[in-house]
Amino acid sequence: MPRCLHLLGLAALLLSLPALATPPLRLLSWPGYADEDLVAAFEQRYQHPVEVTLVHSDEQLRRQFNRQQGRYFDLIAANTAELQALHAQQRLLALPLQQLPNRLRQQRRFRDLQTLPGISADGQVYAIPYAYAEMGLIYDRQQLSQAPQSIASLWDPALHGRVLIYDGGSHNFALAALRQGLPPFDLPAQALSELARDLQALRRNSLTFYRGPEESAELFISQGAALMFANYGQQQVKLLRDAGADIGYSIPREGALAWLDCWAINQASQQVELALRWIDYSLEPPVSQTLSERHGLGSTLEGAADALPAQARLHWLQPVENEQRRSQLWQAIHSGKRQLPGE
Amino acid sequence: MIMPLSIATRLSLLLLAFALLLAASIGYYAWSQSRDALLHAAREELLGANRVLALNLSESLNQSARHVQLLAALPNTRMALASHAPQLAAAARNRQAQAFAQLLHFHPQYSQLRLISLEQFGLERIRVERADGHIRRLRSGQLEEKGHFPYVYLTRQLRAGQVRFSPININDEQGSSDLEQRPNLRIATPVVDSYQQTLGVLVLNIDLERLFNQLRNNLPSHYRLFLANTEGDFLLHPDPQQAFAFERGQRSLLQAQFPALAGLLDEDSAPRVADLGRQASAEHLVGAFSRVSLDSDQGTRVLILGLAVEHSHVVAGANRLAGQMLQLGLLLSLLAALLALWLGRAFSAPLRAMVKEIQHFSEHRQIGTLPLQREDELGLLARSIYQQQSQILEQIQQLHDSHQAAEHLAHHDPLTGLGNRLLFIDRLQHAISNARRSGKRLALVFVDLDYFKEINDSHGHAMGDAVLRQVANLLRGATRAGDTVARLGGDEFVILYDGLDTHSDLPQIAGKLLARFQNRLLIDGQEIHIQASMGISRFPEDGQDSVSLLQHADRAMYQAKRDGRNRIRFSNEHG
Repeated sequence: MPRCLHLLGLAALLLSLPALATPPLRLLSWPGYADEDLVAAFEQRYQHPVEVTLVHSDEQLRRQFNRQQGRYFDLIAANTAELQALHAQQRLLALPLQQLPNRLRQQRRFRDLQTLPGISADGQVYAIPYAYAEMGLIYDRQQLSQAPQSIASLWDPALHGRVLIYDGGSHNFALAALRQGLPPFDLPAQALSELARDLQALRRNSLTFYRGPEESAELFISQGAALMFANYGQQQVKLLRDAGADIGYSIPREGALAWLDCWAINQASQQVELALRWIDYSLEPPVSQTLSERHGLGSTLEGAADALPAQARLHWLQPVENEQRRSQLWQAIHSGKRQLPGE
Repeated sequence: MIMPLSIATRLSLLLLAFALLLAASIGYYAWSQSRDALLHAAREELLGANRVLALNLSESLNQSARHVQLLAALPNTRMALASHAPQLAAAARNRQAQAFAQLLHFHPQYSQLRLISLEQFGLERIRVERADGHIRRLRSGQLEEKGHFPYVYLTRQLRAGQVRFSPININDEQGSSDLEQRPNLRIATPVVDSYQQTLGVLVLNIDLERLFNQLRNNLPSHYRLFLANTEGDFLLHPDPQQAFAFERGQRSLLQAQFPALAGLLDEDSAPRVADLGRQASAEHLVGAFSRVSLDSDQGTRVLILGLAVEHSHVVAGANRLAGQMLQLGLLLSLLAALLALWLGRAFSAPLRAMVKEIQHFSEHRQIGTLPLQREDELGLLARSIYQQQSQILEQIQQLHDSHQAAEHLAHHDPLTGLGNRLLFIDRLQHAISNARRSGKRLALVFVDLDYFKEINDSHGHAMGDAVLRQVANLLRGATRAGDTVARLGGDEFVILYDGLDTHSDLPQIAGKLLARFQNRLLIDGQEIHIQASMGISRFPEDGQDSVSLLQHADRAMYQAKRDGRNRIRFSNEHG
């Protein structure tokens, strides 16, 4: 082949490089954190496309974040427990805080990053708190005259076929542990097997499982559910009330699991500058306010109402003793196996 | 600078342009008329294929629904769920499992068929499925509780004979064999006993990929398939990234990608064709889309089915026609060009010939051949040119003649026909120049008649003139052809002897000349005796120019007069 053709090919390659070099800013997020209009405004401001991928469980989050050898996503919204695990794998970028001026708008407790577990290490910060909620119980006031007092209500045979459960192994084991008075995130192996039995019983007492908040609200209303474990907390409460359901929300006496979701940047991201801009953008009042106004979630900004119930015992999510084991057991329970692994 | 175009070229171009315009406009009209018809036909064909495919799809799924309904209605199925007679139930399950396996065997798109009891939290009683290409039945220890899945808790709400089509998704149910992570549709119906008590549900899983491969087999390979659900989420797309995006936490919607098709999501909208633009692998597609309704008793489940082909397929007929039109147009244009060229030449050739003849005429003053015989305007033009040229020639001849006469008059003496003083001076100057170059010599003889006045007075002027004529003849006769004889006026003559090697012969020549004057002349019967005095000057001895030579010869002549007339004197002779 003549040399000039090589040069032509090279020129064509070089010309196509800019197109190849600017993939969209890829966000791995939960419902409510990156609404279409907010994304569109960001795209407009920075003239750069954004691709949002939503997940409905931590298992999905992990699977997605591992796409393309873990290089696919630039930004991830995850709870502090997941972030701790990701940081342990050195998957997260240490954040240059001076590039996030809007952080000053956050409440003091979300600004003192060293005091929050799982998002800082060795003086470096790996994540910026964004949204939080606790996981209480939602009940139909038409069917239950009193607010459920205990997590055990989910197992109540009187509610057989009218209970809705979240499809997530780690949270459900923590839930079952709280019911038994066990440490929710650090279970001995024996307890894990026993709790698996409990969860099998919970599945048998339930109508079905949900993943997303919208799905849960739709099922709750259309299937006439009486009680629901609210994995998304107030987000589900708001959805249901907006749909006209007569529901109540309670924190059981064992306390409630709670999560704090933060933005973090993939160590492998090629678009760190833009990812930082997204984080800072999300902390602008009009953007952060949508969390509470539209979705009932807690915003971290100064002046936002405290979304957490007063005097409630909260168990903030932490890394669990054996994620894989919990997940494996949960899959067997979910599939409907009568004999669980390890029995 | 633009060269001016010849008439022939201009005419040819004009004719050509006209012919091209004609060919192009006729071709375009024919093409655009037929193109619309061809495009319409291609779209109709696409719609027709879509209709057939949609019919096949709904027919196939409805047939599957009938299979499920039929199985659910069989007494054996009810027996298989009977809890009061465990042994009879086990036997019935064995029989039904065989029937299930047969059904799977004959329908490759069926991947799993289950009979699920409502007892024991929705325990599977029969589960027959495809695994690694084989059909297997799961042992009772492997059966699972499925009561919490919608295909159980929603189907159990139906009445006998009713069916439920599930939403189409990627099957993520564990342990479901070949169906795992594949597009999946479940058709389920309740199993009801004779007391209208629901005992369980029958669930058929359909592997949509296999189903569509079957349907696709009946279509030409260049067709691309699209399928979307009621919300517009793509389930099938030529670009795999677009299909089931909702299963990966994203949305890829028909109405967002093809806004022209958004209306299809509304009820009762008619099939439509849309230009889909560039799709995966840079194909430019045109697709026909229609709604496929699966009638179920829990609301109709609607799918949007699209069948697309590359745009080039649709316009292929029209493009072929355009090609043919172009060829025809080019052929016509070529013919028109040849005709225009020929016409231009036919018109300009005689003009060019005439122009050539006119140029020839102006250079050579000769009338050439002109197409005088033509009876058209060119003939008329040729005859006019001929007439004009003839007139010009005639006038030129006249001009030439009068010029010649004037020229002669200016240099000659009209009486004797000899050259006059003007001519003589001219010749003398020429001769001097020549002599200077060649080193030769000249001699000038001035001749003045003696007593000519007396002859005039006694015999009259007529006699005088006759004498002068005779003398001229005499002098002409006495000189060589190269010598010049001229009459200066009155009775003065002069002779120039040109190109002499030496002057030594001069006395002899002059003597002979003088001798000629010694005879009498016979004029009108009268004898007249006339004699002459002659002066001779020589070049270069007697003068360097014409004036001094003439003066010297004149003086020498007067010397001869003074010395008694009828004699010769040389210029330098004294005394």
